[in-house]
Amino acid sequence: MSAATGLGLVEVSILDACDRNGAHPRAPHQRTARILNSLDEATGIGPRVAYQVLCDMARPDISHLALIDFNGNYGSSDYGAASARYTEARLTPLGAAALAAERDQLGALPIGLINGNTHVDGPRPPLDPHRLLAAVRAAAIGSNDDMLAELVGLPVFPTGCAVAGDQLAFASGAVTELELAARISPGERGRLVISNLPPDVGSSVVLESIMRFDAFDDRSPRSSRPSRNRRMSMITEVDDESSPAMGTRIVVTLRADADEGEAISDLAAAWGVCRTMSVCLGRPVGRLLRDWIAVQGRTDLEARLALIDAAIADQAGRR
Amino acid sequence: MWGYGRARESDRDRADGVVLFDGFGDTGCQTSLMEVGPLLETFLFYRCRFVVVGSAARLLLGETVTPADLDIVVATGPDDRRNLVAALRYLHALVFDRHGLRHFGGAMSLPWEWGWSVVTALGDVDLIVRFIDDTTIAEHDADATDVTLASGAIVRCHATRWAA
Repeated sequence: MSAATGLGLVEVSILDACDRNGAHPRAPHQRTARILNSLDEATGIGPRVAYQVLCDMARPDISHLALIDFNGNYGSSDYGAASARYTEARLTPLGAAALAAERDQLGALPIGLINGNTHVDGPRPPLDPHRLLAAVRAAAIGSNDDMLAELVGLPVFPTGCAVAGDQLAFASGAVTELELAARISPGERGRLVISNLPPDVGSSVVLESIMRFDAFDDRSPRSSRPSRNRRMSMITEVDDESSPAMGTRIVVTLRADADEGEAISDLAAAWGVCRTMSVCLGRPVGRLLRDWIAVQGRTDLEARLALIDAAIADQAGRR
Repeated sequence: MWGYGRARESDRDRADGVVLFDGFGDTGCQTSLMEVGPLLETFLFYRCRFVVVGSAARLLLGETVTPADLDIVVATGPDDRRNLVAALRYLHALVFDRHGLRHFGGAMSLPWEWGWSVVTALGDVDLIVRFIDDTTIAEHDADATDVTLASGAIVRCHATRWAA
């Protein structure tokens, strides 16, 4: 993991390959296959691995801070990306800044702290970018550990799922089990809308999970799972209305006589709608931030953090 | 040029005037890697709206190419989606997703934003909804040419150099 940005070797190499191929923020997108071939020639990192990483660096449901501006189908939790021959990519302004930081042309940026690495089965979770920046600023003026822990809070995933867990244990740097849950809200005409799924969970998984639940209702003479499944049989239809504009949106239509509260509590227990994840910062939050500032220096700190602020605003605009 | 195998009598009634071919007969198809004709006939039978693009379109328009797969740009209205799903179910298509190949059907969420790939016994099919230049079936249909298949059915073909 790079000290300057917190990015991995493959991620930094991809940024470098984009730069070599002229895929700069204001330049036209470049064909992704060309970037990956160049990366392969320069570093030996094969396109199969690199393409997945490149897509993850662009996906708003994986990274709070996008380093790659992608044109085309970068895939989802259900489906892979389109072939690299048919997609294009270039650096975002923050991606270019991260590369400059890696080349010592700019001070360090806390990108790795914000994006985390749980999407590659790492233990370090993504943190709320605004809160993390506030905590870095607070650490720079000598705030105490409790205040820093309070500012950072629990991890926040880019999908927007609800997160519950032991905040004190998390702030102490210990391994913490988080409960991640999609949001279920009442829609119009007796419908329930499931949105903001936990990370790495696709709509297909949730649909399948709900359908399987519903299959074991009381119509089956051998059913041995009475109460929950009797309630789940109150569902008449499940539709996936997800789109890039609307995000994940699974619409569950209930029977007219269904109890909405019971249905919500049953849906909330379906696999995919909720899941757990073990995460770990490795060090207490206060020490982590103070160490980062001590190693990376305070010179131009505010200007560097302003770059991240601009990237967050830019990404919010794209959404 | 194209032979489409034997039509099944049982299919004639269902086909409402359009003959559905079983695709596994004596096709005489010129492509070595896949059976383009029977695939197109199946999509037509299920009233899918599509434009053939890429190398399969170039082949249908008379160029000497060997398509590795069939690329079609599909319409995605509610009826179009239903018809396409029915055609893919008939073909026993397998869908590539993160977990590998899955049978088409059951609880499955499809990426209607961009498109996806399926594997069938007759060959691989790329179903494209939108290209990276934001063109969809409307633009490709406007530039497409009618090609009459041996059965008399007409497909729209746009010989793009690359697809997806």
